[in-house]
Order: sequence, then C-alpha cells, then structure tokens
Amino acid sequence: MKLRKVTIRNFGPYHGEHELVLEVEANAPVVLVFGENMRGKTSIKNALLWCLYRQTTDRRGNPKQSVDHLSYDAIDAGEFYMTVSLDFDHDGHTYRLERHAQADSKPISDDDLEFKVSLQRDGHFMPTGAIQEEIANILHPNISRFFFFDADMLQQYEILLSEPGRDAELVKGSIEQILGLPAIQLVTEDLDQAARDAQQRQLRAVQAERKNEALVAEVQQKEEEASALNSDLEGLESSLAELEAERVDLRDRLEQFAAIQADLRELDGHQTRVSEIEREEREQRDVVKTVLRDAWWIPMATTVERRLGEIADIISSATDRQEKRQALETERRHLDHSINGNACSLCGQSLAESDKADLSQHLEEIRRELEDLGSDSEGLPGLLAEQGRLQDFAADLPPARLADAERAVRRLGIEKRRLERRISDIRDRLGRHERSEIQAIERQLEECLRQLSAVMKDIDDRRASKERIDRELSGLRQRLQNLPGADPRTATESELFAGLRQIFDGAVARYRDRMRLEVEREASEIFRQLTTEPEYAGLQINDQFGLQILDSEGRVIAERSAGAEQIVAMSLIGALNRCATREGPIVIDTPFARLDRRHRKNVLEFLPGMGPQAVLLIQSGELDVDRDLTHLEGKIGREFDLVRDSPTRSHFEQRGR
Amino acid sequence: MPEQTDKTTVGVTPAGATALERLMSTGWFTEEIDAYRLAIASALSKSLIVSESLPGVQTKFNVGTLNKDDQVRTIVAGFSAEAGERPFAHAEKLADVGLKYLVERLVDREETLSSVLLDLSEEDVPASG
Repeated sequence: MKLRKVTIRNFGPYHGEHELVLEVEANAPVVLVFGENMRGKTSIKNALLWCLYRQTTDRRGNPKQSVDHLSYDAIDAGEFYMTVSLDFDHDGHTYRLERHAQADSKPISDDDLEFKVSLQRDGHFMPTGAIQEEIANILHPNISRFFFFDADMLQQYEILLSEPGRDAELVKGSIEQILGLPAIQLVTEDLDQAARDAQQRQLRAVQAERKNEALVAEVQQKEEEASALNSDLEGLESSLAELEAERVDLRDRLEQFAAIQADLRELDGHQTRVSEIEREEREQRDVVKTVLRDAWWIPMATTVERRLGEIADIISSATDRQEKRQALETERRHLDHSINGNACSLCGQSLAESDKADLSQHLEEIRRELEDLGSDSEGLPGLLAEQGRLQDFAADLPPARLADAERAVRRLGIEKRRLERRISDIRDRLGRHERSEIQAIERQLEECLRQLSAVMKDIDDRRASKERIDRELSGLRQRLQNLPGADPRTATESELFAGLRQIFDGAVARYRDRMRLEVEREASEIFRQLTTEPEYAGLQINDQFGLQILDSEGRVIAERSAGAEQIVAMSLIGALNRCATREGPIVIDTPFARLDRRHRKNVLEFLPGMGPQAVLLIQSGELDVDRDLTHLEGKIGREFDLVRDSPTRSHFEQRGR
Repeated sequence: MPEQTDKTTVGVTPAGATALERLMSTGWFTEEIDAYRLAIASALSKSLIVSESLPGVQTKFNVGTLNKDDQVRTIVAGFSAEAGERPFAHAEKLADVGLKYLVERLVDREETLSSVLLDLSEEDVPASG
C-alpha cells in the first residue's frame, strides 16, 4: 500500500476541504508535516485511520467517537458532516476510499450520525458489503498499530514483556497476523472440520448395526458432553471478555481519580498528623500550666534566692559571734575565779600582786569585748522562721523545661497551621468529589477481579474436562473403526485428517518459532543501527514478541530509558515491516519527542528504508530543522506546514523544496 | 482611726477582668487563679506602682483559696513594705496592675512567656518588707 493523496473536509481543525498530496518517489519516500501543538498533526493520522477503519483512539488507546472529530467551525457554520477520501495504490491497483458522516442537526454522539463508505478499485465502485474485507486484506485493522502510531504510545509494546495476559495476547495476535500466521492456522481449522465430518459419517455407518448401539451411544454422549463444554467455554470466554472490559473501564475511572485519591491519602495523613500535634501540644501546654500553677512566684525567684542568701549570711555571722561570746565568757569566769581566790584556777599557783593587776586588766578587756559583741538572741529566731518560710520557694525551678515546652508548642502550632492550610486547599480542590464515589469504584473493581478470577478458574476446569473427554472420544472413535459396519475408507479419511492436523500443528509451531527468531534477528540489526550505546549488543525476543536489550555478554539490561524504549519499539516495528506479509506506509506522530540528538540522527537515517513511504508529523521542539534534517538529505519527497487560522481552524501549506 | 482588718476575698477591677480574660486566652493557664497569682509576683518583681484604691472591684477568689500553703502572704508580706498588716488587700492591688502588665507583654507585644518570665526574674530586688 502506498498513499497518494488524502482529502479532508470538516475533520478536526480542517474546516472546508483540504488536500494533502502524499505521493512520493521510491528514492525520496519521506513526507514531513510540521506543526506546533494543537495545529492538527494527530488529526491527520486520525483522518487516515478513520477513513480506513472508522476507528480512532485517544492517547491512552481508548476508542474515540467519530462525532468528536467533527470540526468545531463546521458545527458553528451549521455543516454537520465530515468526509475523508484516501487515494492509494496497492498490488498494482488504484483505489479511492471515501468515508462520510452526516447528521441532520448538531450531533451529540455517534448515534446521531449517518455513515457512508465507498471504495473504487481502478475506477469501479466495489459492493458496499465487500469493502471492509477488501480493506482488511490490504491492511488489516489489527495490524494498523504497526503502521500508524504515536511515538508516545510506543510503551504499549512493553506489555509484551510482561506475563501473558489479555492485553499481551491481543498485541501478540496482531503481530502474528502481520506475519501471516492466521492464514496457516485456518488450514488447521479446516482439517479439524473435515475430521469431524468423517467421524460423523463413520458414526452413522456403524449405528445401523444393533450390536454397536452401546458404543455409539457412549460416543454420542461424550460428544454431547464435549459440545456442552464447548458451549460453556464460549459463554465463559464471553464473560471473561466482558469482565476484562469492565476491569479496564474501572481502572480507567480509578485512574481519573488518581489525583483525587492522592489528595485523599494526603488529607488523611495531614488529619492524623494534626491530631498527633494537638495531643503533643496539649502535653507541652500541660507542662507550662503545671509550672505556672506550682511555681507562680517565678518572677520573684531571684529576689527570694537573694533574701535567703542574706538570711544565711546573717545567721552564719550570728553563730560566729555566739561561739566567740561563749569562749570569752569561759575566760572571764576563769579570770574572776583566779583574781578572787588569789591563785590560778587551773594550776592552783599563788598569784603575786603584779600578776593580779595584769589579770584584772585582761578581765576588763574581755568584759568590754563581750559588751561590744552584744546579744543576737532577739533577731535570730525571726530570721530562722523567715528562712523556713522562704525555703518553700527555693525549690528547683524549671525555667529551661518551661522554655523547651513553650518552644515545642510554638513549633507545633506553626506545623499545625501549615497543615490546616494544606487541608483547606485539598478540601477546596476535592470540591464535589465524594470519597464514597471512589470507594464504590474500588469495591466494584475488587468484585470484578474476584469474578475474573472465578471465571478463569472455571475456564481452566472446563478445558481440563474437555481435554479428558477429547482423549476418551479419541479412544472410542478408534474402537468405532473396528466395529462391524465401519467403513474402512472413512476410517482412513479420518486418520488422514488427524495426521495432517498434527503435521500442520507442528508446521505452525515451527513457522511461529522461525518468524519469532526472524523478527528477533531483524529487530536486533535495526536496534544496533539505531542505538547510541556501544555496549548494547542486540535484542532478545520472548514467546510474546517482547524484546529485551542484551549487552555484549548476552546479559539482559534491566533498566531502560524512555528513549531506549522508543528505539526498542521502533526496532520491533521495523522488523515486523521487514518480515510482514503486507507492506504499508509508516505514519508516525511526534516521532522524536523522547529521543536525544544522536538517536534522532540514527532514526532519521533509518526511516527512509523502513517502508515504501514514511509520513512524519513533527513539532518544532522535537528537532533542530537545519541540523537534524541534513540526515534526510535527498530522501524528503514532500514537506508541509500546518498553519493556524484560529484556535479551532488550521490548513496545510506545501513547502517549495 | 481604727486599724482596718485584711480582706477575706480578692477580686479585679473591670479593666483587670478584661486583662485576666485576655491573659487566659493565651492558653498558658489552667485556671484564672494561676494567672492572678502570677500577676501578683510579676507586679512585685517589677516594683509596679499600685493604685491607692481599686474602683469597682468584683470579687473573684476567696483568700483561703488564693493563699494556699500561705505562699501568697509570705511573698507579699515578705517583699512589699506597703503590704503592712493587710497583705491580701495589697495583693489585690498588685494583681490588678500585674494583670495589665502581663497582657501588654504577652498579648499585645506577643512576647514569649519564657522570655517575659526570665526578664521578670532578673529584676532588681524590691524593697524588703
């Protein structure tokens, strides 16, 4: 398939009719379309997909309604229709596909639109009923993801690396389709049918003999059981698909609530912390309150302490004087006694008159000294009482503890106010969203997952039963062939089909393995061409076509950058294109958004060889036009600019190059 | 003139009542009586000039409650010469002026409690009683 021209009317930002000529020569297969964000690059890719399949998706891969593509300006002008025509060549034929959607009044959903499609091959209209099949033969919608893609969506190929699951199976199925595997698998289904027909004929033949009745009845019963199991499996597969869809829908809805959930978690955390703060604040305040209740005299503490010091000094001084007074009194009594008795009161020796005169003089001095010392007895009890009273206030005061507690209360208050502001902000943001709404979806998802698990278990059980019955049936059929009345030719026919089935099964398995290794080889070669990391030696493919990067020692590189992911995905797509049974144009939206300059150079050099035609929808921030485009020198067939007319309207302009 | 007996209840002037209310709003006191006692100690420490008379005093506390363990009388009588034989009448005057002083610093000037208490406890010694 090679695109020649797309004509767009009232689709996306393209109001009125706009023609984009995409026809290129084989030696210059690249078409560049430059446009800033919101100009309509993605609308070009969507217009192509809508025209081919009437299917488009948003950036998250969810289906979009056709009505969402109708130009706003067209609606404002009362033109409730849109048309996309695609002119292309395929397999030596010229095609013109035109898809049209129209409403009588302003459409709200696709139910309001009437759709028409026409396909001309070599100038002749094809029957409407054959169009879908013809398009599927040219480029099946299941494999379109490998030809029309958004570089930002390349991460979907990462699911191929995960455990087998429904999403991975879908992508794997698409890959096998592009590689032509389903065509071979159809043969095996035909062989199964032929074998079943032969078995039925044989059954009818032996049924005629009365003595075969019991065995025939047993076969028929087993076949009924097998049929019932098949029917059960179909029903369960259908339930599984519905539950998977529900799971995806619920996950999407929960994702929409992700920011709100994060807010709610933050709110819970803040509220818990505020409660803790309030408790801590109460404890610290209680410390202060206790101090102020039990030590209210703190302002007087220094004064009390000083007074206690003074009292202690006075008492100490009085005590010293008391001791001195007692010593002097003892000496006075001794002198009195000696002078009055004319002999020393200590040793009894007689005193001379001159000694008595000296002692009398000394006695007089002691009496004067005693008079000078006076008496403290009147003031001292009062001081001791005051000291006793003030001792109550001399208890260890806790000013440091009080200051610590006050600081803690202040710090906690600041933190609490900050959290309360944050809580208020979150509450404002949460607005109308109710926590119960999210919890209800979470409960639904939980129930959905439970049912999914139950259905999957039922499917496993039924499959096991089916395998057992198939084995039993196989044995019974073997016995049927030896019964009287059995037709040896039918028996041979049945064996032949079964044998062929085995041969084809083996062939399909070998073909799949070979194609997988072929894809791995091609992808590795492209990867080495695209990567800028010399130690990356190649890629390793798994059963699901997931690709992992290997180093020169053959070890898997676990961590991959966003740029490396894109290079791996592009290697897979390049390899699939090379191995494909179909050939088609590559249309890439924002191809360089995640790539650095060296990767851009490699990709630009690789793209012209990737397919017969490469249409790149580029925005200015992705590359340096003057420098990067030198890597496409001589390979650019056409260049367009998307020009903004208004916020809702754009048009193309071809560059003269 | 016969000597007056001391008061058996103490209270606050209307301005003192407002100050007490504002002081309680700081959240640092369990009961009003705790703030009242602190005001007495603060006024004493700061040697604040008390009014000769307190117009419009409304009774707040019984002296028995205020003077638990005889502590208020000990401090007032012990460190204020003006207390004379009527320490509780004087304590009431000290409380009135002390409440206003604390409100000015803790509420109006938003000083921290610990810095005010530290400052008060470092005041010059008032005249001993």
